[in-house]
Amino acid sequence: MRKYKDVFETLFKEVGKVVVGQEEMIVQVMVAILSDSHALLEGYPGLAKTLTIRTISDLMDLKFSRIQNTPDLMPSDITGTFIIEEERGKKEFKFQPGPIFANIVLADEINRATPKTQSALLEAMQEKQVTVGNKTYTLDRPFFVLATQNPVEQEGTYPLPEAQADRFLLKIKVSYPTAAEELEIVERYTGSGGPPKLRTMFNKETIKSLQELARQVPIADDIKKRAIKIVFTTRDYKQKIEYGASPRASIGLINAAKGRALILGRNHVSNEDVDAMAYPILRHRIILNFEAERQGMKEDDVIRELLDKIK
Amino acid sequence: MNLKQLFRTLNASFFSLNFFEVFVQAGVMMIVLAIIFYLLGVKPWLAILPTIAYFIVLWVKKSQSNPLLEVERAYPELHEKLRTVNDNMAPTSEIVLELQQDVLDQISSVEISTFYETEKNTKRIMVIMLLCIILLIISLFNVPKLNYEKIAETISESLPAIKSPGNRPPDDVFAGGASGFSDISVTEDIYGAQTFADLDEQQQEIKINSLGYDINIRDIKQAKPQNFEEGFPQEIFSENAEVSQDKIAKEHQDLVKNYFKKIVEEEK
Repeated sequence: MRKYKDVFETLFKEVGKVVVGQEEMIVQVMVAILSDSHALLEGYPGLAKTLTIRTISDLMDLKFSRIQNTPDLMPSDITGTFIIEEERGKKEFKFQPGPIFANIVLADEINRATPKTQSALLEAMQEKQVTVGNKTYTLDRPFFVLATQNPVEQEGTYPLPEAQADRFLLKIKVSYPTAAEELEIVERYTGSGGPPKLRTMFNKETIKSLQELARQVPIADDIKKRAIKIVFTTRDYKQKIEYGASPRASIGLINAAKGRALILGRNHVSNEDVDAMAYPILRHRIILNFEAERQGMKEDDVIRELLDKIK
Repeated sequence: MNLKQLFRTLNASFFSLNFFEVFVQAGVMMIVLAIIFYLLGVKPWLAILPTIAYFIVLWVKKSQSNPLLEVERAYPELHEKLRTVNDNMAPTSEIVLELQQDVLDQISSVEISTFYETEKNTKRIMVIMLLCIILLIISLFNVPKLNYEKIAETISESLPAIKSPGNRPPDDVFAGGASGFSDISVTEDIYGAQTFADLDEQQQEIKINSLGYDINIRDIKQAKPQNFEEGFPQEIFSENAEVSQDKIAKEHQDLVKNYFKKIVEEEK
């Protein structure tokens, strides 16, 4: 496990050449990748959400594409469409794949797209295939969608409904950098010199093998039961939660905990991994009731209460 | 040693340790109960029944603890690893193999003696020895069993006597009633003038000698046979008992008589 820990430490160092701080965000993005799933990054503008995803994709020898969501974006702009092409004097329909046909898809400001466009993306995320007309096109593996959204400027946006937000394994909250980090950012990006050169670290095969390895990380039965109990309790905690998380959250929590254990170089899943992953797994899967909102509580506060109850 | 043998050895060691601890605790309980039963006049061997129940309760409680968790608590380097290996015995991947190897390497530092509560168990054994000595002394010197009747008698004798009305402080007021004393004004002393109730100023020393009931058990002998009278007395009559006559001085009797006369006259 030492060698895998070294690999990830090198990866973080390479990302660190471009992105200052935000270690927890980077770890969680990697957890989503190792779990072969998708992540939703939420944070105020200018916190290096897009930069982080772009940097991670640069480190991986994977096809990257970006979708800037706007209200006038159509589903065909994402999935692709048929266009008429002339070849040897003959005109025929040819399928032009959309930006979704990539390994890492960055969907910027996903809450700006209309529900119809969102559903086209979310269908591809779930099925890992796209149907255009009467033809189905399978997406290349590995396939990740890393979406971003802005918690402010909600006017004219289409918030993801809970059923669709459930498709994302993690909802990663991006916070402001510390004063020391901000000083470093300023020094790095206001000085002379171009962007740092990054070396490619992973290719498709490496990522597939890492994903397989992550699934093999062993977990003790009582830790597994505790993880399930955490998700289960969200359904019974009627004092603060209106709707709890689904069994998909239990699967996600254990997979994410395994991914985190692998990244940190541990050869087993710890309770610490489960607790750390509970927040990004559950925060977009629970709906708080009026009592919690009246007390000014956020999803993270309620999750913290649950974790304190379930030791 | 492979992992299965390792966990078997660990479980067997904890079984022995727990059994010993529970056995010692039950032993203490049994001797304490035997002494109590002896003093209460109950057969001491009956103490074995509650001891068995206590043993079972303690054993059930001890069995619920997880030996792997105990080892992990005592050895932090094995934290969560033992339980994970126990639940993932089949070597399904290189990670599991590595974890199993880690555990096998680190388990060599585990000493079972760490889990033996030396101080507690030594104290318990010393208590058992002390109790055995007490039990021996009790039976050798034939310490008398508790006499319930005597205890009840002692308690009733030590209860304080009820105060007589004459001892009430002068400013107590009657609540009224059929006797008609409620018309007496509060400022008046209902016991009359103080000169009526003056007591002698003589000091008297009263000495009460305690009666001894020492019995030497060696002096106890068989009672002598005695013939009782067969016939009833021929004449049966009663006489005034002198004891029932109050030996109150004439002047004191007159005092009380005049006092009540005065109260009645004032009422008129």
